[in-house]
Amino acid sequence: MGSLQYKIKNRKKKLVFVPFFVAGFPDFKFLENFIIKNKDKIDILELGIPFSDPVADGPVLQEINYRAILNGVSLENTLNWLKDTEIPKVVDIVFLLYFNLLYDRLEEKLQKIKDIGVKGLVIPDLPLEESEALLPIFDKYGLDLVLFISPTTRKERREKIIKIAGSFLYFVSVKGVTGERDELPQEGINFAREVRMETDKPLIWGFGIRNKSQIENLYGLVDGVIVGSAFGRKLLEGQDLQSYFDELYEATL
Amino acid sequence: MRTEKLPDERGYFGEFGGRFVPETLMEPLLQLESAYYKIKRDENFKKEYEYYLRNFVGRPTPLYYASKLSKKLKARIYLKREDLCHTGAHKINNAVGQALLAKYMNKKRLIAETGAGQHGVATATVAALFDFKCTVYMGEEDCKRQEMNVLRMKLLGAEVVPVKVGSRTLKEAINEALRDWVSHPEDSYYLLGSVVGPHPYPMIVRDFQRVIGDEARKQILEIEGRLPDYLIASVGGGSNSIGLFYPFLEDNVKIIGVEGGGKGIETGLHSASINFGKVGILHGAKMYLIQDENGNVSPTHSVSAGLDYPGVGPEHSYLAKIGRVKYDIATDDIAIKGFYALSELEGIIPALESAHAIGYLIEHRDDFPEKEPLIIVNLSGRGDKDLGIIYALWEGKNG
Repeated sequence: MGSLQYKIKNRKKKLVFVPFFVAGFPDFKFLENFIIKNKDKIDILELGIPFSDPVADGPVLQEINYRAILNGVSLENTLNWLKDTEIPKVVDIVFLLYFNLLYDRLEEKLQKIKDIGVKGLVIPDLPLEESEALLPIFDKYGLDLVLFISPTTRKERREKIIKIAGSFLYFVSVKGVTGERDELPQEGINFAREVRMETDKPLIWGFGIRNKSQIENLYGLVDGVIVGSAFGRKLLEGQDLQSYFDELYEATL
Repeated sequence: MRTEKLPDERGYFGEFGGRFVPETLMEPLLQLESAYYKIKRDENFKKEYEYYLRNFVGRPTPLYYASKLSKKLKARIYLKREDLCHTGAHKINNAVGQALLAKYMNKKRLIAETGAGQHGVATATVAALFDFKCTVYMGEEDCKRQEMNVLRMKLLGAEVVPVKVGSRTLKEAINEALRDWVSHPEDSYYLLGSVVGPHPYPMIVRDFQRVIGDEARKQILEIEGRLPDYLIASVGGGSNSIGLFYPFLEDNVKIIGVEGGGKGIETGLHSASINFGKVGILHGAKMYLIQDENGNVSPTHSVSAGLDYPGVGPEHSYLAKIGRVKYDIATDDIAIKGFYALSELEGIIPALESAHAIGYLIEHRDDFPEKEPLIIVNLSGRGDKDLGIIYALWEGKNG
């Protein structure tokens, strides 16, 4: 059992809270201050490395990826930034990155990611078929590979994914790209109930979360919730993030 | 060397290809693959596909002896006249095949990306023919470069969505088409236009384009009584070229693919993925990719929108790696020379994509050691769509 799985299983709250931010947006200093200030509220930090072609992302995260790249953010300087901060010591981090960012000099990069103290990797364009051959390599560096389950994932396939998945399963709640939605999709709720019956592995709900009542409706259904685009929009619009962040955090208690 | 058996069951051509897509798209890809293998063996499907190729597309296309160009270059040059296909380019071969496949799969809507607009027009055409709804994604920059094709798609009843992010060209159009498909995997069919993308697309598109090479092989044997010394075709994503090359891969024929050299390699403004990219992953496949040191995909350039793409089909990547096909480049200027030469000498105005192959041949004739080499050039499309670009060049020179 990975350390994150233990933590999720033994939480003393309704849901683990997994905020998602793209590294270096709006800038490294802002993120550092925000994360350190909120370290006790963040159960797992999902940190995205910006990519030029984020096909699984909706408009808000596309824009943020684009701007972060313009600001010169890369895997390399994200690692350098983290090295100089307290963040890896006080928060559990998983990286989200598209596979091309890792592919070249893969093991060298995995070593560096491991050395910083990152716990796991979320790679949205690396499905089961492509990850099987790579699992021993991720294992070698002690990095947990987080796999996805989506409403189009059939039962036989889910069994295989559940078998090899790391600390938790990233539960894609809708057919679509990342981005805020007003309601919880009924399709996703029904699907989560079905998957819940099939595994003890923690399920973390992703895609579409923007308000408190959505989160409250996930109690007992999944183990945690990821919020990305909703925070991203606040940052893009230059609005206050803290009170909104607190409101969603409190809904997970 | 046996290339006939590729891709393998995981969708790989050697180390290239695969399926690097979000989990939501895996099931649709697996369904597509199994539907495709079924119809591939189905005689009725084959008959229907051939019926539309003959009566709607206008196949077989001629293999035309370009006598004046041949005389000028001291060679025997044949043009495979894909420019004479309905809608003006080879793209329709694949669009007809995949639309029939979509019909068989009971899909109601087609999604497509387009660069120059030729694949978008081909898809809009088959959508009209077979009663599909149709959405085509096209980079805003390409919409400007190819506005007549935008109009054609609209006339055919398609919705054209200009994509306004990044370099606003083919790469972004594919991103957007993939996002649409992720959101509508059940009712929509993604009709990908080149031999790129996740497995099984590079295989399906190749199989629907190989008619070019199958016909050319038969035609050259009938006319010349022997196989050609050379095949030459332009390579963007690589569908016209793989279509011509594939049936000749086991033959003793030299094969040259011509990538877009843009404004010159030294400027960095090109789209020569095999020559100047390195192995990477984009749009679901491992292939040669033009990218920066961080792994982000770099902006590309070509005077022809159809070649303006940072990657290249995984099968081409493989053929380059094993040395079966030689991949070289032609710059914008060389392509434009080819464009003028074919227009003036042969009375055929080629697409700027195809003009890269013509220009390359003119530029490199002296590199071919044969006294009078027998050459087939794939004339993948006609040049009507490019007149705006040529006109602007004239204005620039004379104005």
